[in-house]
Amino acid sequence: MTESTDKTTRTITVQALARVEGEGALTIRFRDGQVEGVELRIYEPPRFYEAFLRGRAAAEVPDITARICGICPVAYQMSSVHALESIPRLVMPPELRALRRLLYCGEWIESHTLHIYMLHAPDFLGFESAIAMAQAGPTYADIVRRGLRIKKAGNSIVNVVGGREVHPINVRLGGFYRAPRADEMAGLVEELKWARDAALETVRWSATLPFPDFEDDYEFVALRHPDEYPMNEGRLVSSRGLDIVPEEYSEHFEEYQVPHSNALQSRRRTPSGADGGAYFVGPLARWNLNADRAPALVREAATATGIHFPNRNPYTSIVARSLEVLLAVEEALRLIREYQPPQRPAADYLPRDGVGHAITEAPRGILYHRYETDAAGLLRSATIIPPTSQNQLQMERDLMRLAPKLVELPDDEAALKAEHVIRNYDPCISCATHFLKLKVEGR
Amino acid sequence: MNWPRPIRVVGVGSPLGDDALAWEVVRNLRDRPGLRPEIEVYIVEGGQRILDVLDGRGTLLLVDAIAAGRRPGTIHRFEWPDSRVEALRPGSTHDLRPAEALRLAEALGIAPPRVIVFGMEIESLNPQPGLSQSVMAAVPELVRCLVEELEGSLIVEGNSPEPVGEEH
Repeated sequence: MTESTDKTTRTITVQALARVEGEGALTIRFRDGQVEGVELRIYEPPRFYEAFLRGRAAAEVPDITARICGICPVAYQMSSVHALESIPRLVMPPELRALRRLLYCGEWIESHTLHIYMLHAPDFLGFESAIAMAQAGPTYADIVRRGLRIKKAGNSIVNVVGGREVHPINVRLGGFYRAPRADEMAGLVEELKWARDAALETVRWSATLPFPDFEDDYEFVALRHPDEYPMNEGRLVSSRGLDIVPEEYSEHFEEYQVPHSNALQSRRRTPSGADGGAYFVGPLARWNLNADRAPALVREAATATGIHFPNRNPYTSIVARSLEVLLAVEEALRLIREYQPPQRPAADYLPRDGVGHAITEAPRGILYHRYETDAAGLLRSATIIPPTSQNQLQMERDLMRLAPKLVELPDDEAALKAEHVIRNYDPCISCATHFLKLKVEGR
Repeated sequence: MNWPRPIRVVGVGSPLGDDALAWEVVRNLRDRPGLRPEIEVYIVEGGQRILDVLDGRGTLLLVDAIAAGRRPGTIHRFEWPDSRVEALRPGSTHDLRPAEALRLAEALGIAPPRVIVFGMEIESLNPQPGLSQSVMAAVPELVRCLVEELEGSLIVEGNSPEPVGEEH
């Protein structure tokens, strides 16, 4: 739908308003043929939850935070339990730690595969949606089917370990309410073996997609763990030498309000150069900083793509995401193979007053939680900084670079190209395959 | 009426605010004594997960919240394909609207031959705890409509029972 307001301003409504998750909108302003500004507006549900959580018991938090996001509930649970468990310095028994990693693998598989096949690949292949892609002939329909089946293998892990696929309810402070039985775990293996082959194929296929030339000098930020690919713990490192513990997060990153959005954006506290403190989180950042921690099978698959990593082209995030699907399937198979049902499904959590921090790797990047509890374990405060608000400034920077190429394009084509850039970051903002209201002013 | 089997009731929604309408309906339906075992009942969070329970067979009864500007609690019934289904549940960057999920299912050859959609007008889009009063008050009526529909579907005999669905 296109509305003309005057000779120099046009507004294209690409998608009607979204509901619970709010809406995403993008405005690009031109003056005299030059890009004057780019504003990406995102509604953020976590803000509501920060207020909602105050005064609640720590034990309630994992169930509440799981509801923040329908696609990455595990990430919200993981950051919240690890932050709260750090207050009484609870050390997770290794078998329960492994089970949490397995749960995260399930979510990575599900979330990544959905994004690769249903949202990002259609951008690269010139389809307006996965539906159009599936309708384009049996070869493309088979590709979509493969994606849906891999995704379902991830769902099954979340179902068995998390208690159910939708808003998993089995995670608690100290571990789980119930540990899966050995036969439940064994039931996952056959489909995961199929998924491993399909994930390898996904890596090969994703590497053949056409990547526009769009390199830049990003600061990539991700967790790094001494001996594993990061999910639930590690130091926070960056491609420009940052190396801190999660407790130091707020000394190095800050949230600030921008006039065009009711959401907060994040930036580095030490703005370096022209990027104004923008930084890049998510699969490409993780892979660039942690490829040496991946299992051999995944490293070899990365080498075989012929794409050089570390890579500074955000469009190659689809390849990094595909590599992480393979990694998560391989890790899941290993964790299931080594699984022994624990004697107790949870360690004791003893509430005390204090402040706890945690950063875990949500599918789309680092998710920071900070809680302050009183002696009874009631929350005095909650801070939740989702990956999308951390990537938002970087998305705007990318759109600024893209904008000059949009000036001459028809509105619908311009919107598609802008969405493609935004989808490199797999943002958690609303509306389906065409999620933007793109407003082009003054061209 | 002879409905293709299996018969699947799929509620769509998140467990917060009025969006939890389908959770409440599904819970009510499951708690009803005498729900025939051949009826599979699921709850799924968003449109894309509808695809996980489809295999090209049977009858699908979708239950979803709808925000079309009518009085909260108003119940709509559509038979797919119907353009009004487009008004159900906007997607997100990670989701499909139910109508998109159904179209994708058709493209992939897994759409059921018969799809009936029940939508209820909701009051609030906010992720508040619990359903709005107006929506909660209308839940029994929606459950009654569903049961009536299901009872109508079961008059015909001669079909072997299908397995009971698990919660998804």
